Amino acid sequence: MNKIKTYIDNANVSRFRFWVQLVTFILFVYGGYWGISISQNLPIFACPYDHATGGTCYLISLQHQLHITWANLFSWRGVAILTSFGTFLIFFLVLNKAWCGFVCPVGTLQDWITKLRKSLGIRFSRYEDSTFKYLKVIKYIFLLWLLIVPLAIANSFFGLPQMSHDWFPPFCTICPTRVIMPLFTGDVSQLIIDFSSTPSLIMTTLGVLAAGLFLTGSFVKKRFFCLFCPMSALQYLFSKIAFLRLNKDGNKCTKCGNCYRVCDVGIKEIADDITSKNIVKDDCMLCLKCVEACPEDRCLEVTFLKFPIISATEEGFFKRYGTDNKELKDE
Amino acid sequence: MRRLPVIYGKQHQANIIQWIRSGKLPENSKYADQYDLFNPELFVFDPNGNRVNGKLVNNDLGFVVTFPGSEDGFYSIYLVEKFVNNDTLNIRVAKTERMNHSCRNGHDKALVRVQPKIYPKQIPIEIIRKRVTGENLHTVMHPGNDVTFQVLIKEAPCKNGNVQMSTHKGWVKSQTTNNKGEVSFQFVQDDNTNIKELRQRITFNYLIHFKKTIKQNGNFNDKHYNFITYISTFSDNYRPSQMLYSSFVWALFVIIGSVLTLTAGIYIYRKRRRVEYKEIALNE
Repeated sequence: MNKIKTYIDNANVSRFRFWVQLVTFILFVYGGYWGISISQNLPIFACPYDHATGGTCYLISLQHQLHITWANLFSWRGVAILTSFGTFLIFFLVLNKAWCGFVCPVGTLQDWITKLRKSLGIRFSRYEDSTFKYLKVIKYIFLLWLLIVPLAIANSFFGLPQMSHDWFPPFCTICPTRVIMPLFTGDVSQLIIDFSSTPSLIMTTLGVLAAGLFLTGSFVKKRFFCLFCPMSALQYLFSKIAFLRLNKDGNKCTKCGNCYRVCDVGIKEIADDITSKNIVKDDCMLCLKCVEACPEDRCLEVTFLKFPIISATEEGFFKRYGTDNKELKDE
Repeated sequence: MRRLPVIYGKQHQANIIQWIRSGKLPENSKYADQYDLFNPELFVFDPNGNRVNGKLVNNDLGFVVTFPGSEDGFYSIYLVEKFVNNDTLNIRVAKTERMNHSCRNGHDKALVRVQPKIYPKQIPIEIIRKRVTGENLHTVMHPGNDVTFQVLIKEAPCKNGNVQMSTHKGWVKSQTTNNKGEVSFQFVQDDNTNIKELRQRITFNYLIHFKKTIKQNGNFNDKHYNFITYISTFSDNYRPSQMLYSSFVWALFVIIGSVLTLTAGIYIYRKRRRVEYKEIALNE
């Protein structure tokens, strides 16, 4: 048992992650060609606008389900909404935010764009702390937007007129994934500005602009879009009760900063916070790069229902990085 | 229901209408043959309103209508069936219009030449596509267009009649005629129009279907009837929206523009923030 644990602790998680990402990318972009449909309530951006997707993002199901009158919401139809939510939650609780780090095809795409940038020798950008603090709020605004607008289309709020159906689905129409993912199957039908009404014009223009922003942003900033992802916001609300966890032993931390340096999202607390035991933060995607880069034995540890899966070890660190120094350099 | 859908092409100077088909919806209507028809009578009128000698022909293309003609404008083609079934006289009319135009013949009086004509003596029930503003010899319907149809029974507008529109891609909508016997539809965008169809300028069918039963006694071919059921279909074609082309082009402009602008912005920002290396020698 110890041998297996040592093998895992010393393993190259990034390489393992690359292959998992490749397989899941094929599954969630082309899986439909083989008749695969895993679920309509997945905690990842498996985009249904890609006609060959092997599953569907929960957010589009949620938006469709919330396009409902108050009377129906509090009837038996409400049970269907809860069932969908329950399915999403079961999926999510198993892997926690590792869905983002290992499975999400949009995250994978960003990682590949990052690899392209690295191979071209172009340096990456990092947000300043103050900017990071403000930007991370945006995903919660998106989450509120996609929860409220479908209800405001189906109902009148405070006697105000109902919103036009042309705003629907309120997040998917402005989501860059809708434009980009179908392109992988040769479908350009979402790369379009819809002139049929003012809301459609606004929303589809924003969607195409967001796609441009996604491509450029991901090129200079690692996991650029994840900071604005409402799925990440929804996930974080339940992250504390998930089975898979990233724990930190503050007593063993030397604050070397390796974990922060390798963090694609740029979470500073991973290095600074020595009091929290569960260190899965708001924007963490459980890619486990920090565990790989931590040279202190069991300072960072991933557990599933308290059962240790992989731990940071000095031996594993030196094996992976092949360096004499415990402190990693910036990319 | 009989359909006379889109024009197939020309052969030996005869205009050939595509296969005659049976069914209420374009997507699942079957091809008809001569055994399906009840004493069919074919009427073909040239753009001047003169009857032309048309034929129902079973050839290697299928069961088709052929007729000679080279006049510029709309040829109106009708397939009429009349028969008594139980105590009901069924009058079934399948109509289509075929635009015949060569730009070599010029475009004089195009607005007049595209106007619809009716033939009440021969055709008891008419579905007329009202011409759109500024319609000319090249006008093609596209999704997003408003299109109005008028139903006339023996020249009189038929009010409160049910008219159904169905498109090649399966979009179906029903409406009731107003006092003028008119109904209006807006073509919806076919969601599954793909870029290949746009590039190839593929033409799709749509079908207008009308049915009404009225109480009226009479005799037809020595058979007595108490009701008359009018069934009429009008088939025509449309192309994917022209707006789609511009929508794609605009989207390409926006995405390429945003990528270039952001890239330039990031490059300039980084360049301005770059601090030149200067060696400072301290004189101690």
